[in-house]
Amino acid sequence: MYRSVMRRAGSILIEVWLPVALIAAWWIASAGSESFYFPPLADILARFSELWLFSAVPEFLAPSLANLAFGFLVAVLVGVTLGVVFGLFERLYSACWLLFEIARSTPMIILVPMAIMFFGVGSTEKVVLIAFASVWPILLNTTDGVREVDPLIRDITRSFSMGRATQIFRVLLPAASPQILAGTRLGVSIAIMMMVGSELFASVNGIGYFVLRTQETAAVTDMWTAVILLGLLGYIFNTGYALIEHVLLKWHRGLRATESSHARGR
Amino acid sequence: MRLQDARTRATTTHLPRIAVVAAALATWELVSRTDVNSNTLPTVGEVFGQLISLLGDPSVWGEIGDTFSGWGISLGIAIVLAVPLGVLLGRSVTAYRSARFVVDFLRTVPGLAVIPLAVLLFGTSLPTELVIVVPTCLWPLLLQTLYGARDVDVVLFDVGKSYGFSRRKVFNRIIIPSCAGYTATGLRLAAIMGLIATIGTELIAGTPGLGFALASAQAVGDDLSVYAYTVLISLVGFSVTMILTRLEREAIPWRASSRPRS
Repeated sequence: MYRSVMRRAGSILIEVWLPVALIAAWWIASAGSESFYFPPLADILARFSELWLFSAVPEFLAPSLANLAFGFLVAVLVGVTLGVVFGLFERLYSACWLLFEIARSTPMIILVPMAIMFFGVGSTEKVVLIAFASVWPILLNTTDGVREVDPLIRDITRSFSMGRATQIFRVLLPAASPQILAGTRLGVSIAIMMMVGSELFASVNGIGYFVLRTQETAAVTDMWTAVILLGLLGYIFNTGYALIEHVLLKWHRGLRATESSHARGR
Repeated sequence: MRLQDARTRATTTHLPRIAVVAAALATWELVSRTDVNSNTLPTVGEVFGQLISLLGDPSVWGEIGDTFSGWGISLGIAIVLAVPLGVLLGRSVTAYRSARFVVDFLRTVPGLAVIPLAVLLFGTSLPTELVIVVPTCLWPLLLQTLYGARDVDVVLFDVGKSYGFSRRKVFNRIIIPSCAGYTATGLRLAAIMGLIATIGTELIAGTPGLGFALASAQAVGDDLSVYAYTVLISLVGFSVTMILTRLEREAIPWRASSRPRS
């Protein structure tokens, strides 16, 4: 009993000592700092809770998150729809391959100036950029997922004379969902990068605008809080998404486990 | 026979692909000529003309050089840091569990978010670029090397032991070759993400290079150059991706993903 408690305490300790030590080192090294660039961590955290818990959230964080959510939603809808189409029509996909590869390997951030020329600086521009940048991994992964559905399963759906819609919604999409989720996960991190990048280039609201303003007013402590906030957002979105994926794919892991135990002859 | 194969492959695979790209360009041309929503979208000819005249200008080659040197230096630093660290974290459970949270947190920080701080500290010089790009390249390299180091066949260690290998020899002859495949994948990912980060930093922070040239063209309202630079950078990204994918396949030909699909 005592031993197992000790072991658990030890295993928690080993996971947390480094982060705690790093933050403590930062705290101590920056305490009483007079440097313009490195304000004391205590000041940064005090300012952080003043700003982001939660008085500045509606003004500066909410617009960014709204653009992110809207753009990403568009990317998922367009990406999955087109992905299914390209997955079903092999020839079409093969013909579009070169175009897709060029689009996918373009550093999306460079589209910001062009988007500003078309839409001006604002929400439309941000949403279009986020959607266009994050649609590619979703589209290509959905296509792969649909293509890799066991041909036998496709034959079965045909012999049961399922309609196209039933086949897509009841068979192909569920079967491709592990790949679709992997694609959307990549899409989320691209979308966040695009949100941050496009706002830092030019913006009229949002967290990027907040940062640009701190740059002009040389409010360094505020800038540190924004960088920490963006780091936390990145972490929360990524781990949150991994968690959702884990829950949604429970059936998939269960299926794989049964399959492999069947293969081993139980 | 082989020639025949190559020929049918060209007509059935490559021709439709080129046709689709041509169709996309034709659509662009059509839109620019009809001038639907009074956008002053230039024609394909104008943009590629501008691109060619850019490429005739030596200063553009200087910008390309700046981008590639910032990218290359960052990749070099990332390799030097990530590979030993990856081997350490892959071989030592204690080290791995100690570092897990820090690595998980830091790799999800959007690199571009640090630009304002870097600009404040270093202005628009090379160190700003390094502060953003080195971490971007670091994580895929570190994680892939870590997986590789963890995946070393246990039997190989026994073999090494029975041959009386020193620790150093075990490292050089067993761990490094086993990691190589994983690290190669990490290197490709790091290189592609690094190029994006390099150009992104140039665009936003104004460090010299192609991204900054694009931002300057936009700032002075030289629309045609904005298009030309966008096309140029897109083609650079595409070529780099293709070359790296090809290189990885050549370097590690036995991997399943490298084998041609039947």
